[in-house]
Amino acid sequence: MSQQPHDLQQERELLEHFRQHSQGEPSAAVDALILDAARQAVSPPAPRPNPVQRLHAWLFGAGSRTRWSVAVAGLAVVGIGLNLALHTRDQLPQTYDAPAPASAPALQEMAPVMEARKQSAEPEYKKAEQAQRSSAGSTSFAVSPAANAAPRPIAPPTPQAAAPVGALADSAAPVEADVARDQAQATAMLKQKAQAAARSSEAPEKPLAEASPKVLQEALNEDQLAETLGHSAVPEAPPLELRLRTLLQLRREGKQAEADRLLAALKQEFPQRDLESELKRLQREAEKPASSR
Amino acid sequence: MDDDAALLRRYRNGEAAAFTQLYERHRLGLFRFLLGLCGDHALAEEVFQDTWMSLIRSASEQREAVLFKTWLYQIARNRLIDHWRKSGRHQGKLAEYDEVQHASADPGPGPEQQLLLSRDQERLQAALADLPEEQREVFLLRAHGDLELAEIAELTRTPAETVKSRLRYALNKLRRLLADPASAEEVSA
Repeated sequence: MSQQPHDLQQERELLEHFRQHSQGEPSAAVDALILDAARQAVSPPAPRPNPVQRLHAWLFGAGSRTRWSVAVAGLAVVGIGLNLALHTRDQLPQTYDAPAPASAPALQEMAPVMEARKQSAEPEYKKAEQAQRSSAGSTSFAVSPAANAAPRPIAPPTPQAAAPVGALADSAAPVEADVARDQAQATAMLKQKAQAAARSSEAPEKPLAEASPKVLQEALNEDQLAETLGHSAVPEAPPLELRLRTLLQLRREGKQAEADRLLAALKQEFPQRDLESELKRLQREAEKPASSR
Repeated sequence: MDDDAALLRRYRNGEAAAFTQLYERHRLGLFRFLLGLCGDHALAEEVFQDTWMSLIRSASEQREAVLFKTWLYQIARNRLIDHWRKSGRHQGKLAEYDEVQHASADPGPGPEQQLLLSRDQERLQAALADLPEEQREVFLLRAHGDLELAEIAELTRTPAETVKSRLRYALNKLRRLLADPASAEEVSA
């Protein structure tokens, strides 16, 4: 029975001995960490700033310089990107990989017609060259009479010229669809006119006086048609020779006033041309077949 | 002076100073319990910090029937065991073997030897490390946690009688290991 208190006393002494001589304690850093975490856990959360304050802090607070520079750089990149995109889009129709436009078939159709027109107008071309050579005093860049007189042929596309045409054929601008339609109409009309002109040029023995005024009128109307269509490929003015022949016809028919008006208009239009000598020449040519008959 | 439960309640109500008081009360005991159990200062600090952090983050109140101290030491013990399980490095000494060895003929130190127990830190640590894990745990909970046998039994989920015998074996062995013969001889002479 006396052993029990003795044991208890021994136990207490040993435990106390251990408590006194035990060492080791948590570091100050751990203490601070735990106490700080405990304080933060019970501290009320800071009131959330309103949007204006947050924006102000975002713009002018810590690290605002970086944010500004990033924002400005971003805007610059967007601006450059937009500029590049717009420029690239403007250049797109000229690129090779654009889809084929509707104008391409019209252009292709136009080529043989223009070839026929060129062949039909060839004699007048030669005449025009001769006339230009004969007019010695003209040093300016005056357009040759035949060039004006004859409908301007469209040269067949050369290899160099084929490239832009090909590029054009590749482009698919919707605006060009309307132009293509106009071109197709113009081509059809030009075909008719070219045939008529070819008929008139193929029959030189037929006097102009006998030529139908309708044909001449149609030839005159080509100018209006070209203006209406606004197409550069269509001849801009009726041939001077045709108009001079019309003038002779009017004189023959006794319509002197109309003839004078037309002559005045032609002189205004072709001030450097000797229209009187041209008229005489045409008059001679017209009388020659008549006298030979 | 408020008891631990009241301090914890005050802390939960937003009084940070109550936590500081609670921390100061159990800081050394808990750390030395962990250090004595694992023998590694860094690991003891890690588990110590983890224990307090989990107490801070946990919004739950302690159970009425359980003392704050028991609850705190149980958290720390579980954290350390979790760590050992994860690392798989801890291999406790078999208690049964040691209990058999020291249960029979352990005369125990005399009164002189008791007064002349070694104060050398290395010997204290070595003697503690020489204890089987279960005995060491019970001894440390008793020495640093100042827990009663019933509380230790509840904390370790061990029968109270087993806890009592483990503590007795641990005390006997420590007394024997820490007895300083040279000093005892000097005293007797």
